[in-house]
Amino acid sequence: MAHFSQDPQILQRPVTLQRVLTSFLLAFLFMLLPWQGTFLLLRPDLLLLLLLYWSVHEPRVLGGWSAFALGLLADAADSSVLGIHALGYSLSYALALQYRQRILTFYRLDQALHVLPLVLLSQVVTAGVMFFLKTPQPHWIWWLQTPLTTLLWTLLPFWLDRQNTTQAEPPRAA
Amino acid sequence: MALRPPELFSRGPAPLARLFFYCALSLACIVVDAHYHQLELFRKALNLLLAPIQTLANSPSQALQAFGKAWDNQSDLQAENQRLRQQLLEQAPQMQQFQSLQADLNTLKQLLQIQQQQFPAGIIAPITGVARNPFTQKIIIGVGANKGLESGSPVLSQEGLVGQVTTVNLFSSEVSLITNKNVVIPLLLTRTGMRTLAFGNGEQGTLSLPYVPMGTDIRAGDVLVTSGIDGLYPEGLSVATVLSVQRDPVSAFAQIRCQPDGAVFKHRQVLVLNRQQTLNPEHTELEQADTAPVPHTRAVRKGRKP
Repeated sequence: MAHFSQDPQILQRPVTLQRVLTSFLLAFLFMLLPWQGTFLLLRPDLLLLLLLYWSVHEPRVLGGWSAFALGLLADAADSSVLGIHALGYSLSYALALQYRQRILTFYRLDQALHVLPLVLLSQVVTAGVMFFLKTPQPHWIWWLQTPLTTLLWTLLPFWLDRQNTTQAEPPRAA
Repeated sequence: MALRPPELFSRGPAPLARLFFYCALSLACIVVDAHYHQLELFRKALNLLLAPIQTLANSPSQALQAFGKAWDNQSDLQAENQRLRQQLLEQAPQMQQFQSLQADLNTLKQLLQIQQQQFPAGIIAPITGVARNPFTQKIIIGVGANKGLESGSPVLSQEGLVGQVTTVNLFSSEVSLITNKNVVIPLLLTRTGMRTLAFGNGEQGTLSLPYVPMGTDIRAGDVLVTSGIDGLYPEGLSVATVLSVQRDPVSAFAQIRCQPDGAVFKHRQVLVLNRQQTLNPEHTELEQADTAPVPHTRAVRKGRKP
């Protein structure tokens, strides 16, 4: 599904499944690094970010099941209760899909403002479920994950767009 | 008669219906996993899927460690070797005494017809990381079902009890630390012989003893060891030292905080003990005990589990 990005001279190629899968593999690699202490609390949720990116830019490649499956894998990777990330990711993914046309009309920084509540939603779901399971809440620094993840939204599309675009032919002089 | 235009695209269920379906499925997963613990096999499968990525993610830090080892100074190694030999020599008399004491104890137990406990054998496991979850206190060790590890086995470090194996994967296992909120340990206060229960305090890295009556003789610096009542942890493992005792006249119980002895983050390896055979209920020490009333372990556990 080709569409124009912010610069109308640049036409985007439809993404290949291989590229999507590679990006998720890299996100898992980032997630599974030996994080500890404060760094663990601050680790941005790259997986959710990529999920939102692909759902906004290439809604036909992923389905709702992929948000659920990625969430389950994230739960296993984080050794948390199975289903917590799956619930948060499913909700964020559905909302991103709903508002994708609107998000695409903005520039990157304004897009990030739309992404912030989606990432926050996933974190609130996690905190809420843990609250109901009577698990003590982590240090407040943990909530900085959302702004950090959102900040990455302003950088990540830059790289992914570049991988994915081709320069359109310049208009011919009449 | 209303005419419907021909469908150009097959769309499947509406997005909202799909969302409800996946949310319901997630909630079902949460309930089944948190309350009924029935998804362990599924979790093992997911972990197996992630194992290659995990190995890849661990490789830089492992390479760095190996690199550091290769550059260890020879004089440092010699000094460490000397220190360890000295330590061994210092502990030798105690060890010899321990063997004769153990023999005496066994004879006495035989006379009193108390069931004898064998200290279980164990395997040494490398610590491969900390569980990446800010909500729980867990470490990951590099030994799993491949070496016959069982869920529930106690885990020790040089200084004392570290925790309990809670999830066994094929090549790795998760160990819940004793500071974890869900871990309960039956303890014995060595100075007075009082039995009690310790609960983890979560993030703070301490333990608390919530069921000690106000008038109990307990003070800062007292040493707590496992009492062996639950048949899970062998008797006499060093667990914690009392940090502070607060006696609030409003409450029926004293507020006691303890510092765990097993400093897990100092070491690269831990010892995982095999699980003991279940004790014969007729001969448990519980019946021989003449100490202050202790709430029933299992009932308390059930109450505290989320």
